[in-house]
Amino acid sequence: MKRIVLCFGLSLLLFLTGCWDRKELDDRAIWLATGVDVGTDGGIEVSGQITIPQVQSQGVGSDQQMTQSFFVISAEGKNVDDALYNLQAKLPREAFFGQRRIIFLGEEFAKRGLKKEMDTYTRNPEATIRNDIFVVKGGTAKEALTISNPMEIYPAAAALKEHIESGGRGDTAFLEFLIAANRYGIRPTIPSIEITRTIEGIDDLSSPEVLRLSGVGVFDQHLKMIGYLNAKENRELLWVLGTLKKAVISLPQEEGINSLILTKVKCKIKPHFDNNNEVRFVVNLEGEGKLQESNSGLDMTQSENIKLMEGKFGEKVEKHVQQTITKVQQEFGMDIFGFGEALHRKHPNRWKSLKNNWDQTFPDVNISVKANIKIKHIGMEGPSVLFKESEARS
Amino acid sequence: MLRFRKRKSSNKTKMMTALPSHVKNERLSTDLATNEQKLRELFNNCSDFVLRPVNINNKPKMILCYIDGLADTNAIDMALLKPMMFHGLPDGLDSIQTIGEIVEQQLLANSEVKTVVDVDKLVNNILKGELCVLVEGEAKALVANTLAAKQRGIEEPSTEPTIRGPKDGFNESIRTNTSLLRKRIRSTRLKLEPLCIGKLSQTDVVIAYIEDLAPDKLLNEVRKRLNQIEIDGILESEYIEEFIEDTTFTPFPQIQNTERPDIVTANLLEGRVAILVDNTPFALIVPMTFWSGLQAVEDYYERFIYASSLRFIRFIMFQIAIFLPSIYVALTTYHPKLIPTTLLISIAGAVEGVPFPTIIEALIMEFVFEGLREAGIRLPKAIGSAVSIVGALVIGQSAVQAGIVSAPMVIIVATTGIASFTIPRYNLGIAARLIRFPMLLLAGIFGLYGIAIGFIALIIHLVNLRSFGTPYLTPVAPQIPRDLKDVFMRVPRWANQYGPFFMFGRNKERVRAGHKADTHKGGGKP
Repeated sequence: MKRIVLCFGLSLLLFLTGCWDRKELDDRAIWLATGVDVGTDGGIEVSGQITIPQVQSQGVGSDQQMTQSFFVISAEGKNVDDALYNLQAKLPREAFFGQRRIIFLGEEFAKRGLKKEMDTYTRNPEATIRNDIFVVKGGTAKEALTISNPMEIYPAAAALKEHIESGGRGDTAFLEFLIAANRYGIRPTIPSIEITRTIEGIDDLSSPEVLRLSGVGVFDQHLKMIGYLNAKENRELLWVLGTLKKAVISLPQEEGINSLILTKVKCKIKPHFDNNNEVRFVVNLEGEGKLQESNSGLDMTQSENIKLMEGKFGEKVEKHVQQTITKVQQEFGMDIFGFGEALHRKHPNRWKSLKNNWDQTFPDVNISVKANIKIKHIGMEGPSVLFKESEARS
Repeated sequence: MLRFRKRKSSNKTKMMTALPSHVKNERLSTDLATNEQKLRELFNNCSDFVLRPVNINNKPKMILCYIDGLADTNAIDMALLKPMMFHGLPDGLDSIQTIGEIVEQQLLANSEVKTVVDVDKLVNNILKGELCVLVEGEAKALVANTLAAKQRGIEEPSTEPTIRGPKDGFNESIRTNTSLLRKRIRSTRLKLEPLCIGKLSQTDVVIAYIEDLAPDKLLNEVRKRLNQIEIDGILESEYIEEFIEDTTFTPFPQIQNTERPDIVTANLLEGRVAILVDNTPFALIVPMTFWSGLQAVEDYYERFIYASSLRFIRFIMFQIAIFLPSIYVALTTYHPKLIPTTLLISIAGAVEGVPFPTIIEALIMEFVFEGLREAGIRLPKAIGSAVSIVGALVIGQSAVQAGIVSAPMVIIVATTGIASFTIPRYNLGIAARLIRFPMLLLAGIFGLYGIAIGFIALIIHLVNLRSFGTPYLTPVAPQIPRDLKDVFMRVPRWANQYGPFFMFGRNKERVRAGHKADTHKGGGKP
């Protein structure tokens, strides 16, 4: 008898666990991407891309016209949750954020500043921080959400995949933004995306609108966007940050252009103090890859030629990265590369005195770049077959 | 928990015994007519009882009696009646020799003849199917073994088929079954202790073990538990299983049963004890561990890589059989965040328009599936296949098309069903099927949290189980590293030098270490 009472009592404990979040799948609206824009009266407008599962279940084989399997819904409010509450009035099912992978920020919204708007994305236990985040360059987030992609059923997935395939940050972008926002020695950046057409220059049905990665938005310490870097500069930024996964570098080589695809990319930032006790940085870039295109007629089976090319690629990379760093220093004055963090790690004590006015120090810091590029594979031929033997240079 | 208290048998109730009580301790009389009268009384209304008086050459009368159908009448004719009737009784060597002795020593051409003086023993022997000869003037009877009860041949066991391995199985005759064991272990150490259980049925039971391998403690426990059984009749070894198992209120079997003599032999070699019961092909093996429920015979008849990987599949499948439907319910209704996006969207698309909540849908489908399976077993073979086809069509196709059940649910239920078929021991499979339902309810009410609770409760229950003193999860919990060689995988035979430690201790080698044949490449080299 005692045991029965005990078992019963213990089983009652099961019910004391708090949230009871049972919800059938057909009572949930699977929310794939969020867009945030500036609303009227200083509020914000939240829009969402939501799946229509019925379309999915009809299958590909049916004769029906391919209908869109998503729709976009939006509402205004004072903050994100207020807007979502207003939005729920238009949505028959409960919005479910557990599968959201992408956040789009309207350009205007990004410029207004994110500091006081984005808390719900980390506070809400349902939402993940494994998100990709984009600033929509020259547009609003809700526009970006409405653009479907011919390849992907859910266009939000398309933007994320483009981001990953091109060697960018992918779904860690939001996390990296949060980390940068929280530190002193690095300023946050958010990848930017723009609306374009599949065939540039043709504006009709044959060339539907798509999203294209366009670079990166640079933010200041108040999380306000102050400008963009283009795609090439973005790549160099990522290289210095150490998050670049692959890259293609091309190099005019006398009469032809050589291209190298880098698959192993690394970067080390070495801070040191010079005689005047001023901080200097050396950026050591490393890259390994295979030769993709060589229009120069050089015989790449010759190891001197490989060395020569490696040197030239290195020089070119050094020059470009140096340019980008200088541009950022002069134009934005924001340490988006994380030099401050490198210094913090290497000289934690000295960093204490520097960190509070790092934004003032950074634009004038001396930064030099060294690159070490290695060609690991030369491909299927020595000199290009388009060159006759006499034309090929060894 | 319910507690069934054992009732002391009161004096009022009385259990029917095989023979009337007055027969006990009664002896045969020298007067043949009295004996005949007694037998006729006892076997009154037993139409299969044959009592044949024989009277030859004015010599003292004899009576032959046997049970028709159990005793081999042909053998009786050949061995006794023919020589006696054609040639008469041979003369005794000297006058002292009685007729009975003459019959026993010179006439009864039978390999197994013994003398019986008690009435109850005589009757028992007759009932077993032996031929009894009573002679005028002698207070004893000759019993000759003429057993020839009709029995099924030795066939491949239908419940435990194998691809490779012996194809013989036990049948309903305990003598045949012990002979199959003896054939495999030609040693005097293989002991077959006889017992008789069932007050009315007097069923033969044999405790089989290998001397010095089976621990005395276990043997004594088996004997003790078997001797405590008081029941009118035993029809199947399960009657015994229920009496001697350690825990009644558990879905997990604690005693292994098998139709295969090779499984019994293998277990005897590991020091376990087998209990054979007459009239059933199923032998019991104690103690059983959880892991032996996941070991198929074929694990030992195939190369070890194959066996080990199959064992791994089986282990995963066992868990699928218990947890898959509940995990599906928990994930879709509580934690859709954990499902990959594209998968979630296709599930959401399929679930669209299904009228029931997922948990109800799962319960209905599981219930119907179990019903189908039950129908398939009970129906005659010819109809059984029809039922499964109709069932599969009706449930798989129509229900999904009608939008009553979602396609993923059908996939889940079917997978679960297949998974439960991979469990080699049928009764452990039933355990998995039963546990599935409480798990489903827990998942439906609490999500993954509920499954975790259920899993913990299941593990606690399993480690608490004992089978004849052996913890059910041995050798995993309590852990005996040496014995793990034959649990999740089966190491090559030469690498597993010792038998299970938990059965017979430290020093019993089964394989001489390192005695794998030398296999130098290019073996011709001197």
